[in-house]
Amino acid sequence: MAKPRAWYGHDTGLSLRMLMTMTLLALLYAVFVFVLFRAGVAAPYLIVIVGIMLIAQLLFSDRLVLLAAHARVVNQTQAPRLFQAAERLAQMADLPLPKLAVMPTRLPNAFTTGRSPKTAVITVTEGLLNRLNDEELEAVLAHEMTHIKNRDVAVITIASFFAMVASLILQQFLFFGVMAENGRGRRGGQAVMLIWLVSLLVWAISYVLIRMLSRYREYAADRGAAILTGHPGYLVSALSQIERGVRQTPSRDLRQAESFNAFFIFPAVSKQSVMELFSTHPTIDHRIRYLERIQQDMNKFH
Amino acid sequence: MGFFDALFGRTKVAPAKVDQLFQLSTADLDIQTQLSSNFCGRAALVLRAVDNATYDAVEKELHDVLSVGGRDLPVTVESRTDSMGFHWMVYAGQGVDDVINSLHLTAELIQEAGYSDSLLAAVFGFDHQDAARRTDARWYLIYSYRRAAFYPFAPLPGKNRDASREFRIAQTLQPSLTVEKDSERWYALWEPPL
Repeated sequence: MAKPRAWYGHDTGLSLRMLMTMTLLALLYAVFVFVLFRAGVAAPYLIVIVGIMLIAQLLFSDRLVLLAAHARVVNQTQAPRLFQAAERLAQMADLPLPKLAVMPTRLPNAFTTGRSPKTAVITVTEGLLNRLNDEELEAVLAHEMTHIKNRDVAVITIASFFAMVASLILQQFLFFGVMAENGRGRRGGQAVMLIWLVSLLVWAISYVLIRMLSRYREYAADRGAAILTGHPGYLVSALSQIERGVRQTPSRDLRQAESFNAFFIFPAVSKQSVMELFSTHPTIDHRIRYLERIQQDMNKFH
Repeated sequence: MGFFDALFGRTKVAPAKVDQLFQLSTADLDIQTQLSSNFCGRAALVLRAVDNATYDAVEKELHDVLSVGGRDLPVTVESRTDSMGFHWMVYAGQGVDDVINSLHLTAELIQEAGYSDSLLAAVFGFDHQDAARRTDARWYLIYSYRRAAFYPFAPLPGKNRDASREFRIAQTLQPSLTVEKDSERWYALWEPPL
């Protein structure tokens, strides 16, 4: 039997851009590891340490985030509306129903934690539940479900591995410097300087690349939400609701929520002039334009 | 979805598996004899609508096909939308086979049109034979098009489910039907308009 075609196509451009970003990151990291080894730093130890940190992060960070967010895992009777929407979407997406949690904040937002579909938790804020109608809530949940399906938490954590090594070296610069000074004299000092400069460069470039990758994953999740709900318009209207809510909410809530930016469906930054290059999410305008493009492609399907 | 689909963030909804639905046709006898329940005469196809003109055309065409074909098959069809924006095509007919056939015809047409992922589930209502004496007489069999498996749904008042009854139904029908093994995936469909 011929493979049945679907009304939604591919976004090859988006996949290619992700591939490019991931390749650049891999290249950058390869060069970094090469330099570390050539310079004869205790790099293997460093990488082992960061490896342990990475695994710990994959295993435990979700619980920490939920604790820090004061999110409370809810059950069917506590949040029937949330469950009803989530159940149908999980059924559509063929995922086990993720745990659902509510964060007592007026700021409308949502985020997903957990490295795999089995450990995933979707957290929504009270503000989101109050502000969005059923269709908009469904769209936001579909966006988060796509993050789970695409394993975005694991992808970004792994992509950040060597960036973590670099930042560790940067932070430990003084410590390294003193050690080298005592041990190997001036030449050792030069080597340490070189490593520090390379680390700085790797950290800076990977910072931009990881954020670029994160923005592409957001577009992919928006696309997934459009496919799962069948209505790109639901997410458009949810995003504009959330944006309006973020602007209206008092800044005390904003500051509290700001440290969770990377996880949110919409970053809760109070400054309006953040350059997109350095942010984890595309601007709302870009996301809405992207969803409109999906809608136009849908309309062409016969 | 494979590894590379996840890596590149390509969302794909697994195509619907329509064929296992016919298992119900043979299982109906077990339902009558071992569960003392009869097909209530109504079943529904639950669809997630897609927001474009072609999809609307497909649904309209379906209604035309079914209302014309309805003269051959003793089945009538009506369409409803629930509070969550899902479309329900409700089939009414006495014979469970006729209903399965027209439901399957619809599912195939939707699949051919390229909207396979719109098919969420098929729901069949059953009544316990001494319905007069029981308040929880009505129960449902839900066929999931993603999982190609059936599972029971026995709602009680107040959005509760009769878990032990569902378990018994699942155990009884296990030999004749593909029953969803993971009971966490026995998703409820509250207030089915059957």
